[in-house]
Amino acid sequence: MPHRPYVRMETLQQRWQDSPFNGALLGILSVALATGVIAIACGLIALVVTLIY
Amino acid sequence: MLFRPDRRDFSLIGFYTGKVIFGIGVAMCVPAVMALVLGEYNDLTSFLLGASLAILVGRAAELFLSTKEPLSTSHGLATVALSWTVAPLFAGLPLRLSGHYASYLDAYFESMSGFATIGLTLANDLDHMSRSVNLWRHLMQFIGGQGIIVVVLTIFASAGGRIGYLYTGEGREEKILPNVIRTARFIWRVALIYAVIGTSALWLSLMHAGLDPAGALYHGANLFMAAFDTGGFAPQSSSVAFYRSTLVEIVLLPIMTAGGFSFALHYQLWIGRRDELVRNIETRTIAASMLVMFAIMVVGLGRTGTFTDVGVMMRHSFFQLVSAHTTTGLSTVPGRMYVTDWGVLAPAVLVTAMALGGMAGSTAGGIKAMRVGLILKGLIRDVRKVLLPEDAIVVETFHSSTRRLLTDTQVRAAATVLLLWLVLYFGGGLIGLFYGYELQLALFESTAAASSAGLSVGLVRPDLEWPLKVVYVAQMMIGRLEFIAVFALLGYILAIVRGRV
Repeated sequence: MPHRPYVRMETLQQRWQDSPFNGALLGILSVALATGVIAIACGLIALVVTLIY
Repeated sequence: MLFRPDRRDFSLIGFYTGKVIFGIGVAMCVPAVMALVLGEYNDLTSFLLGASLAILVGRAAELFLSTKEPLSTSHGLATVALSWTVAPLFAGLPLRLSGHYASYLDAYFESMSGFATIGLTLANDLDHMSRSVNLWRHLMQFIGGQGIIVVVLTIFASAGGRIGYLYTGEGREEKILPNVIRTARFIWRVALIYAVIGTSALWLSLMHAGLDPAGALYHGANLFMAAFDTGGFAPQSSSVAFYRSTLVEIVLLPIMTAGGFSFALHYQLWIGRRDELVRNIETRTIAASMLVMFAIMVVGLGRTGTFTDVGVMMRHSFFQLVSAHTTTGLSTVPGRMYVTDWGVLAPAVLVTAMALGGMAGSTAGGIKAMRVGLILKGLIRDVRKVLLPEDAIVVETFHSSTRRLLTDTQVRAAATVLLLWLVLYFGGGLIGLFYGYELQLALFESTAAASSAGLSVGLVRPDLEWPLKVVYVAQMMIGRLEFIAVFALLGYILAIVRGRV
């Protein structure tokens, strides 16, 4: 049987997943999402209060 | 019984404080390079003088106080407090020499406000300040926000686990990764990668607002440091209002929110655990308090009729609330308006938001959402105990990275620190009253200084009485270090005077 050295099969997707920028992007998107959700909820509150006053 | 510290104790504290001073000297080289590039030669001389002095003192401390003794908890805490006391002395030198500060106390105040990420300023004619000096103000926030000690931990990593106590003393209890050095490096990695993303977004939005590319980059970098490190300094005296851009304000909102998030939560989000946003006790507490406080705020603004347009009200009130709750201090309206045009409820909400602050282990100040959440959970548990049959076992849990059991010790510790915070806020407010200022102004400014929020109603200005400046400086430091390190330093001073040999 011929000798077959170990070859690490690394796809571009795996490289991206290991990169710190993947984590950073996930992080900043999550933070932006949280801010957006709170902003929308606050916007609805502002709208209701404005209708009352 | 207190024992008088000996030469060994002084050597240890002095040795590590020297490292911090050395680090400040190295950091001063950044604005010095900028001054050289922009031809601001007077400021270049000031920065070189300040950097040389700090590096000289830092190296001298290392040479003469070199010790192989291990660092204990009390040494670590006292070192942190001493470092935070002396660092602004050196950092304030180029500020004083710039001519924008009336006295060395004002320059020291500004440096402490920078390092502790407060945002209150005593600068005269800020709008005509040189770019290198203005950059130094913002850079201090970046260094102080990550923690001066974190800077040292990252640079002098060879000191290893022995300097873990320094990290703890700076108001950071949770180690995100098993090793303190790796935790410090993770904090830097988060800050630097977010700096690239945040500054780029601000650069584009500022160009959209009408700034030239170079100016937009300069303002963007400074605004990023002010927002992410929940600092609140701004390149212009009118803060974010200067840009008159809704887009800039929208970009700043998630950056301020990211600053208010703990680095432990950032770590969870970085490894893809987005459910932590919904389950974490701190995000839940902050989200709930934001919604409740925003509702009260808009009711107050609605009653006083401050804004006629709902969009304008939403824009200003939401920005101000996020800025106050994350203890950033950037503003889109002149500070004086909070008390002249915003009625009573809205400024009261801002004071409460500043007092509560962001998450534990973030760059934000204030009581912290973790403590508020634990106390509320403890309250719910006690109410359930009263309502359920006597032999029922009531167990309360909370989620922070993992599900944890709520203990009496945790609730008691949170309540004790909450009490200390209230004493700090009201103590400063009382001293403001003593100097003849109205309750609303005195309490607003005292809370802004202690919580590291830095929103101002105009009481902090160059001609403020000097004892009040000293009180605010003390509040800034005590608030940033969260009491214990300052108590340790005071304990050492007491031991020098009254301790037994």
